[in-house]
Amino acid sequence: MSAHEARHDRPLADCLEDFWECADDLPRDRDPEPPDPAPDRLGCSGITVRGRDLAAVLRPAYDAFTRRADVSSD
Amino acid sequence: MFALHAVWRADRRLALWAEDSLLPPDGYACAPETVAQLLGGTGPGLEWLMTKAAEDVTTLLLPTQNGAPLLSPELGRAVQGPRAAVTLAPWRVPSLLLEPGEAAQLLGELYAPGKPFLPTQLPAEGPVDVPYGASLRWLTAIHDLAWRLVGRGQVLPAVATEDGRPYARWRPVPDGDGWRETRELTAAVPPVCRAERSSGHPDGRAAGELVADLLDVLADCEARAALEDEPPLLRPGRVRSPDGVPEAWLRALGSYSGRVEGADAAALAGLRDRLDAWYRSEAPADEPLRTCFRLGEPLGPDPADPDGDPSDDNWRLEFLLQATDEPSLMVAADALWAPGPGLSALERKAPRPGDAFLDGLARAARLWPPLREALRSSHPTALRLDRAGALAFLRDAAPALAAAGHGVLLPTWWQRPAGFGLTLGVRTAQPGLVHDRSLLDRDRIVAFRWRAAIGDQPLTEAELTELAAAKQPLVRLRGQWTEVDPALIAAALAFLERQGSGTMAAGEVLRVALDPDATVGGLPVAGVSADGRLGDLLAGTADHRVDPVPVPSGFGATLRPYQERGLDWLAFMSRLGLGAVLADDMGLGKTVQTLALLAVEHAQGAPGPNLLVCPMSLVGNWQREAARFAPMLRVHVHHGSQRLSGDALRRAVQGADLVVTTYGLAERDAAELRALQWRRVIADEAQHIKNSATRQAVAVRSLPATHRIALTGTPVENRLAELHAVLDFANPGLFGSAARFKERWSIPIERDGHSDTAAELQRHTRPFILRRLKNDPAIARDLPEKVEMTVNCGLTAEQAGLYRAAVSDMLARIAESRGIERKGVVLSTLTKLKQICNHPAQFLHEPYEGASARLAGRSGKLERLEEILAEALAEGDKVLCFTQFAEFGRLLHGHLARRLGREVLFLHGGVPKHARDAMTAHFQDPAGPPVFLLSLKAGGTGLNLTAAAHVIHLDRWWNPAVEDQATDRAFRLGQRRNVQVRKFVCAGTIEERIDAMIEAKRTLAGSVVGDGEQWLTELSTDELRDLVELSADAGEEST
Repeated sequence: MSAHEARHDRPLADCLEDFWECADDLPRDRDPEPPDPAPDRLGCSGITVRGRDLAAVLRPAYDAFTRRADVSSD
Repeated sequence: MFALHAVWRADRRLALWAEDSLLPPDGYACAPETVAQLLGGTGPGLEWLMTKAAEDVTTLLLPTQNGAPLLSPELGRAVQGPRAAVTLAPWRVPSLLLEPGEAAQLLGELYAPGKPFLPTQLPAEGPVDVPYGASLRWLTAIHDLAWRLVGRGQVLPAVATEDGRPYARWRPVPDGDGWRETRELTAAVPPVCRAERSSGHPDGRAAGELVADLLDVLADCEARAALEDEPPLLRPGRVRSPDGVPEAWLRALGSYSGRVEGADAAALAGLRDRLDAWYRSEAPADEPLRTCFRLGEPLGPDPADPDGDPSDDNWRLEFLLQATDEPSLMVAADALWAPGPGLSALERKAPRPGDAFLDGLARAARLWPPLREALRSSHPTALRLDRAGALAFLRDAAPALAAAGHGVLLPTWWQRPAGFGLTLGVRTAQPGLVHDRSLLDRDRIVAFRWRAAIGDQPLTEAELTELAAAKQPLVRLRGQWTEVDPALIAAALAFLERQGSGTMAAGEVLRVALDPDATVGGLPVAGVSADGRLGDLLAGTADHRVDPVPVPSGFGATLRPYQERGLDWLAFMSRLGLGAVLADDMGLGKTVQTLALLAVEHAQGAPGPNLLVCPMSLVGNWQREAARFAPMLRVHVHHGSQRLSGDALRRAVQGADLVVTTYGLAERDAAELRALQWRRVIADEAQHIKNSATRQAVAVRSLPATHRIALTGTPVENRLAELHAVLDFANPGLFGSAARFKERWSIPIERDGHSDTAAELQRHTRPFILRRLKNDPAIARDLPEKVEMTVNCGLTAEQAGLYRAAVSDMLARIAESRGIERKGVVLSTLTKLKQICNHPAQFLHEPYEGASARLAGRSGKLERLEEILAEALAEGDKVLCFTQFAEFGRLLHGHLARRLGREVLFLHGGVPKHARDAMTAHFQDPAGPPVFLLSLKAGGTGLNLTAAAHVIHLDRWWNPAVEDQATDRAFRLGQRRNVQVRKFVCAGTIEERIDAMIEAKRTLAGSVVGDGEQWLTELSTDELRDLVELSADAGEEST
């Protein structure tokens, strides 16, 4: 254990004082963040499915993910 | 009054319960259906979700006082009764359970940051505000993060195994900001959320592990929710891939359960590996600070057993943070969390180094999952590994982490692995003998012992047994860790038991010791150590330490000290049955050393003739040198149109000690020569067989002989293919085929520039090659200021014909003339003969401009000159060539320039002073032309030509005093330089005979040889005839 043991690492028996509380304020509203599809960070997959690269096959899923976020934040 | 709480259970269900302030003291939580009513009362969405909920009991560790759980602050009830101690105790809490999919929906619906109450309705009581417990607020915040990760597309599909079954899962892959938020949420976790007691978590759960599980499950649920109404990723259709695995997995990514149906386990594992490889291809982040990993060997005992022995399983993978533009700035992770010099230094490079470190660690954990354990702590510093884990890190993780841009620091013994093999120890001295005087030869029986070794360190028997018992690839030996193959160790043990020691012939030892690819019992030979002369040979110091061999008394030369060592070495190699390569610089006397060896063997009565193969232009030289230095040798020359064959050849060869032939004839008469028994084959100017594929080379290599020697002046080490050809001639097969040699040595050394490999090759070839350089001070010491040599050249048929005609013409005319007329005839004939010996074109006064084809192949001297110039230029030397005849100089000037491809200077009497000075300066310039032709009357003074290392007298003033003056006055000898002076003499002609006379009478003043050449005209006709007549064997150059 490192020298800087925070509350969340301590045994429960040592946390009885504030057993029911969050240690800090929870983060509030966040600024909208741009899409960042994970496959774009990677190189070529080298995996083909029915003749297409896996990243291309997965693309519609990522479109669905980011679309859903846009809709909900309106 | 109610308060809502929630906990994420280890079985991946969300447990909800509510405290009821109105319950009697021995109650605690309300019945689950009340919870359902509370939540369902908010609206139709949650109402429907409640129909999916189950009821169950959750065991929670709660703060307890006076036998009852303390209520949460949301209920605001003051503590009753005396203040007793608060302890932690387990309670069985009735709760509502939701499966992951519904849990995700619920948490999404309940997300209301900033609103502490949930407005709802109860059937009996109407509208009521229910406080959110912190636990529920926290869980909704986690869910919101998971939802946002999916919304940004920060997920990647994976193959997972749950309860032994395969699933397709969407895994969250946060970026730096996402990780930061994760850490903040982890740090904020209310302890109650960790308080579930289950069989795997008797004291509650760790925060990091809880958050990781939550994010994994919730992100997967939200991804599926997003895909629910979308068309499938693959249109249903005929399965194309051979095993259907990618299709089945893709289908499962969009299904509700994620279960992969109908896929073969092995194929699925293959898909997982390929996905892992794809995920590792993430381009390394270009960050000012990067996370580093350092593997430390186990020191001290296992922490679990502090008094125990040093543990082999206590490895430590330390984490550090390094500045990429200043690699020496590297700070251990535990210094990142409090102010200090390390942290300040890093902060100058980038803000918040702690975050950068954690981001890097998170990225690394994706590449090597065991690191995830370290991420669970808020301030990770190191990861403990056992031996298997350390090996896995070294083999798998380290390359992947390094490729992704992390720093990886490995122990040095891993980076330069020492191979496991066998070493041979040889004892040549016979025990019991105080001084062993007998010379080492290849039949001498020596005692040997094999030992196992790592690198070149032999292991004791105890160590080897210990290695074998370890049965692990990573073992510690003498304080050093190393990776070994258990199968090899077992093989070594078996071998040592069977054939570990004994006796063998020295020649056999050498075969093993000198073969770089030798294996014994399936193991590589790591090294050979021997004592005595054998040890010297293997160390390459043999030429300095071998037993001296006395030169027989009839030998016609006194060897210089380095030549004596050369002779000793050649004799030593011969005794050991090893082929030798003598590669001294030109002019150091390879010929005389070889002849000395033959003379020594002749004196010992060694049987069998030696065959010497040389270029045609050197046949005469060998003949003359043999006659001069080793007159006891019976020499037979196999050359010319009249050469012997069949039985006559056999008889001649059997009666000879040395047979001289040419490369051309070695090829043409290969069948005949192969049928004869040779003691030794000597290849002179062995660069003629440097291309091992030529017919000549093949023919020479096919000659059967017990011994072999190659003589060469060209530094073959520079071109490895040539080196192999020469070594392969000397010791056939020892260095493998040309192709294997190229693959093993030439490519790594010449193409890839591996200096380690170059050093290794030198070690293997050193025993076979003796090479001295004339500029080596130790050698130059043994050389006189001027090394004088006679080069015996032959005559072409054309020259011989012209020569004979001129001689018979002279003899006819002087028979009928007297006095001045006679003198005139003699003198003019002598000049003609000189010209003929130089070149027919000079004699015939042919024009000197025009194609050099008119000059080539017509003069033995010209051929030798070209060879010598080529060799000298290859050694980087400059050469002066003197001739009496300006016309010859003019003929040579253009021809040599074309032949050598270099500028050639020509100075003759008609050149004005300023031009002469310019030429001199040009020659002296190190970058200037390497060849200077001079045709000067004996008056050339004041020329500074010290840049020359060679002087060649193409033709002679037949007066030694005049000659020496020309040589010495023409240039001033530098003190540091040893100059080689060559005098060209045509064998079998007047030149040879005059030369002999001059040599014999050099020390005498005056007498027959006076100033000028007048003395020749005083000779009688008979004396003249003897002097000028051409020997019968001259003029055979062209066959």
